[in-house]
Amino acid sequence: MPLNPGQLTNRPLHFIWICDCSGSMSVGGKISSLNNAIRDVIPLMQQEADRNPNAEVLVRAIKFASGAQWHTAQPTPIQDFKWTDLTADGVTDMGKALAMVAEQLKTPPMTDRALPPVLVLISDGHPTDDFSSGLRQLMEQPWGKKAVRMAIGIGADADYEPLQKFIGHAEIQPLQANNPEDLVRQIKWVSTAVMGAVSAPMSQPHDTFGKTFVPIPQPPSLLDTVADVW
Amino acid sequence: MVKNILLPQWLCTGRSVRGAAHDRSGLPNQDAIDWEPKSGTNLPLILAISDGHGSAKSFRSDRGSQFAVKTAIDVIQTFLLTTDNGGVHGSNLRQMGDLAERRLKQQLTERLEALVAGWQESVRQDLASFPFTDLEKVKVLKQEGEKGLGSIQANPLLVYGATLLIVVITEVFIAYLQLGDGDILRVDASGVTTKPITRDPNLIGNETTSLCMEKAWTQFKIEVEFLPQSAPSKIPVLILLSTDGYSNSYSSDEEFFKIGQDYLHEIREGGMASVDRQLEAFLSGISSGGSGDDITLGIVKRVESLDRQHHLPKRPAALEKTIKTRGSLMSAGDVNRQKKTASNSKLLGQLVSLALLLAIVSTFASGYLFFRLRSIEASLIKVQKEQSKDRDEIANLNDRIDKMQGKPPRTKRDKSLQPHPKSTPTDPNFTEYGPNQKLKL
Repeated sequence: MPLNPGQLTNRPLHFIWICDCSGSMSVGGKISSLNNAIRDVIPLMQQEADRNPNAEVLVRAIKFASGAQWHTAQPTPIQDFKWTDLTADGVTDMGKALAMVAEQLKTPPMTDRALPPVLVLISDGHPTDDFSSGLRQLMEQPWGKKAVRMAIGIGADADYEPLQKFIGHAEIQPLQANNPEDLVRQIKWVSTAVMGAVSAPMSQPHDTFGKTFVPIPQPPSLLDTVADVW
Repeated sequence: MVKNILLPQWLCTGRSVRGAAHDRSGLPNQDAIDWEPKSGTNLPLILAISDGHGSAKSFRSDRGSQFAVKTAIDVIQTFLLTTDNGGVHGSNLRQMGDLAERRLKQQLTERLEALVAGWQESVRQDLASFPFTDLEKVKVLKQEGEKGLGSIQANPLLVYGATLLIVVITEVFIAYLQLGDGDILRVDASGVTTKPITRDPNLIGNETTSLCMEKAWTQFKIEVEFLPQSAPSKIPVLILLSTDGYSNSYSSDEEFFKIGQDYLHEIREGGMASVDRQLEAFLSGISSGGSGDDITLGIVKRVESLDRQHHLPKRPAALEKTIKTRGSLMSAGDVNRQKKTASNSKLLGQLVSLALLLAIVSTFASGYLFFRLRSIEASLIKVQKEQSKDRDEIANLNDRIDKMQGKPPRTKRDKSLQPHPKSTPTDPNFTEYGPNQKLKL
């Protein structure tokens, strides 16, 4: 008699865009640049996912302005993922968005077999709500702590301090995008190189201080030839 | 009334396969498996599996996992031999109750420190023989940066880091020991599958406890269960040990636990040999369709009347690769030979002691006889001298009497006073004392 393998599944890798849609994002074409960058990177993410068929990349997006709302609520396989343009209006309730992400990182609905989630926070301003509360709720969840948290600041006016707190590792700095080309480059890097690093099933000893360090490749250098517009 | 209780028989087999993701990236199979006795039968039975870490820092974890399983079997075998199965027997089990469980856990815990020390010693020996190469360091630097390189320089054990899962089955108890991720499944006769050791909720996202951690022995989890020989239905019929590449190929524990019933059904219907034949390709298929990680599965089955076949196929040659660990590792054959040698040595010792005793007794007896004879000889010489003196005195008296009676002096002694003709100087045991008396010694 042949052995029965049962219902096999690949390990889920949850990738969540956390996007600032405050009114300032409409200045200088930031929101449209963000929409274009994410839309353009989807095929690259699909290619990266194909390189590791044993990880099932599931993508979601949440937006925050005056309040926060899931932009793509269902974890969607990257092969089926389609980007719907964001619009900008309101303030910067970043803390609310982090609290909503924290809810989704509870187990369940998460499984303990998942790969570390990748959270990418993109913002051009200062949080206008209780950011610390939202971050605390996120870090209270085991998957929140284990997540690979990356951040991209858009323009020189972005508040990089909360972005650094969100990352939580001194050795990883927030990325800075001062023009549309930088933004495309940074988004491409976090959604391919970082996702590729996380998708490989590489176990490592539990850090006695409870911190996770998934080796992250070096970020791309910015192009000096392109002028800063933000 | 004497009740005959048939001790359960167990069969053991297993396989370790390289993961699909490792195939793509060029990583070796970093898992390891071993068991004793190598025949996969007879008690006590020890099965150990290990999962070497996959991160770039642990670039020799394939060797680390091999060291882990070898050292585990070495240490547990020594434990069972030196403590007579942990000092727990069917005869004292009922009286000891919970105390037996606590005592056994305590004894196993104490041995885990030796186990970790043995693994570390194996790693140090390997490092002494094969120091890190520049190429290895460059790879770490490239993939994990200066932080990664610094971490292996601070703790070289990290390069060999691995988990360890062990099951020990004796006639009286089953012990489950686990350090790090992976799964031990216990399947009862009706197919109900449970985990004696639950997963640590903090170990998610590829993080695990490991032999390379400081005081790693404190991170082991241990469970024991005693085997009620009078109630065989309470004894598990199947025990599965697997690295996390297996369970990560399923969406939940509920889905994964189904393998307990599946393997039980297959072994009962087709026998262990059938499962063994399929196992390697089957596990490779699981990895390809699931986690992509290396997968190792160890199977221990209690023989039941329901089983169609009770034999095992020949142990695969791939499992016979040996890596030198601390000291010399004992196989089951080595242990039997050691026992036989010990028995022969004991018998030889008894014979030598007996011979020595006889030699001492003989020496004392000979000495006693020697000195006794010397004493008798001296006595006889004294007696003879006294007799000679007496004879001389008698002769003198006779001469004086004859002289007084006017008889001529005697020229020779009376025949009656001469030694008995039968008496000879070479016969010390017999002599005459007086004319017709014999002194018997």
